[in-house]
Amino acid sequence: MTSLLPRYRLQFLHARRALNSFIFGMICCIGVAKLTANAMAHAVVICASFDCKRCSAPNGGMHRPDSGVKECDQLVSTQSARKIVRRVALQAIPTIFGIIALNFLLLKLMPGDAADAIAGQSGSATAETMEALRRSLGLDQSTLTQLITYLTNMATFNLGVSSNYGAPVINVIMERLPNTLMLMLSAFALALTFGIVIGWVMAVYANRWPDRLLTTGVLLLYSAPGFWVGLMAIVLFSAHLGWLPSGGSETIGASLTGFAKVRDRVLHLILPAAALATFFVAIYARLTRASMLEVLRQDFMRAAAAKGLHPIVLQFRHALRNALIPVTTVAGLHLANLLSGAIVVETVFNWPGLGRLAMNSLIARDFNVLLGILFLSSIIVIVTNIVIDLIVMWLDPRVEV
Amino acid sequence: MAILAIAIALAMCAGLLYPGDPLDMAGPPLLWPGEDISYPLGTDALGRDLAAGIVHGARVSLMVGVCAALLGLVIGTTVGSLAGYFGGIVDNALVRLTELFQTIPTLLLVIVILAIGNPSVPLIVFAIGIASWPMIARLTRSQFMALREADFVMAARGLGYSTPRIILREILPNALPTIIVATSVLVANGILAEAGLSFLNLGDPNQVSWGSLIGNGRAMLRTEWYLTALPGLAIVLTVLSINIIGDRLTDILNPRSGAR
Repeated sequence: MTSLLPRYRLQFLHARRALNSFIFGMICCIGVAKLTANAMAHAVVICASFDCKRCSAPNGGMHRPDSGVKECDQLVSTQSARKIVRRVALQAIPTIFGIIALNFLLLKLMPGDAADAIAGQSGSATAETMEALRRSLGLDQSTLTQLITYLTNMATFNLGVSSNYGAPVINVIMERLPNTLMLMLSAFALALTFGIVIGWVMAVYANRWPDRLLTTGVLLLYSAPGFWVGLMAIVLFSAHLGWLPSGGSETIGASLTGFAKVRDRVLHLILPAAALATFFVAIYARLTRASMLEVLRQDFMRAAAAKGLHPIVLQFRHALRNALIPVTTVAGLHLANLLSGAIVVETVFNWPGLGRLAMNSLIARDFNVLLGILFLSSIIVIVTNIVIDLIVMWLDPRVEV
Repeated sequence: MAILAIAIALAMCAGLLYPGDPLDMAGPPLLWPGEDISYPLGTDALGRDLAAGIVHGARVSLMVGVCAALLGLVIGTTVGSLAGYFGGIVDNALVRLTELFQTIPTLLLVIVILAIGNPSVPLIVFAIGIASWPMIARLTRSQFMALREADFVMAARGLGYSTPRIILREILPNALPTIIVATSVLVANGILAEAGLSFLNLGDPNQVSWGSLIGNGRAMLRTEWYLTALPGLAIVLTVLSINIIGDRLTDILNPRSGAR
């Protein structure tokens, strides 16, 4: 019993300190968010009242018929800015609450509770100490009270304490988050670049041999599990050819600096990012091909061609831009999948990111960390989806969020 | 197509071709494929026959893929048809629910669910099914919204058919072709998800699957890489054939894409 309580009290103090700092952080965040929103709204109003940002046509981008400007669109109109705020309020917030509620439900379904976990760590516990522990953790309260406590904790990003690492969950996650984000972003960039280029080539050569060849290749990529591609890449590039390192995020103990360090990290990044990207390259290639073909058939393309526009201008400015809209929309939906794929790929390449953290926590039965990762990755997806909406609006100003 | 037929046939005949547990030691360890005619695909470090593993693995992988897809299909169609048919508040609430599940990284949710229970084939099916229904729900919803105002539905309503009957007997059969195509994608994804899970050692420890074969072979990747390559190849070929079937079905059902 004596060994049990001090340990717990220490953790509790940790949690209290973390809680305080997060409340402060949250207040700051809200303040900054409000300021940004205000500034954005102002900026938008100012934009609208001056010249067009793109073609510098005067009068808020309203083109006079004689200005000679054929097409132009404003980045964001006042109305759309309001729409974004509304979207955040109407869609993102209920989703976040739903995720928290789901997490709470899963937490309730888990075998055992926090008191069990703490008792299990300290080695021995009597019925009385367990009772005291439960009371101090609030586990004897009604489910509703517990849910409210959980919600307030979540609102301040207090995700509890990790039993495996003995530190606040948020710190444990934040330590790994940059690695996973880097992996995801490079894979995303790779997938989009290669996918769009391949899809474009396929559409231009539709139903001729380059298209046939690429279609087969893309279908193969589409069917191969990313982790297997990664393993095979290790066999080829690091075991047999010895070109690239097979795991980790940097050479251990090399203590490189400057350019050499960057080069080292990039070399370590290539294989995992490529393995993660394969599946998505295939999806984007197929999508780009389909929507390019759709656009190429439309009247305005024929009109533009009749006008005598150079084929390259035609392809890039008119066709590709319009074809990218569905690709971008779907790309947003794929972010959650990308995170899922990262879990397996990180295991293959020993990449020190969230995926391996999730696996370690699973083995250690560290539920707080698991739920924290689930919560945080969903938030990341929501935020990026809003960004994607903005990009779609930039590609096609007629689209209203 | 033929590959899928072979895979299904192999899965069915697994008990006949290789009676006995594929986890048993069968021959000398680390035989390369083709070295010994009685072990055509070689053996692993414990002398287990890789061919037997792949054949038995086909059974688990295909079953998990199909069952998870069916579960996803049932949930997705129910949610989608209710949202699409009724619209309004029901639609709003169900769309929020769908978005919620779409926001959560699939594999992470599956891992959390598996952490609650003990990994077994039914639980894996349940977890993958739970995580994969949103796509079907969105599709069914859009189909139902398009068909809701169609003339024959009006007629059915005029005849005084009950709402469940209109949904099940009138609209659903018309929306089904699109949904079936999407289900083929779901099966493919289910097989891939199961492979990922058993690769991570989260599968049923008493069953061999393609993913667990890859996971076991990983330890000797640098030298005995055939142990990893062959089960992976089995996955690629099976998923490829399912995807090709899906593509063909799309072409048949969608005359516009057939013209391309």
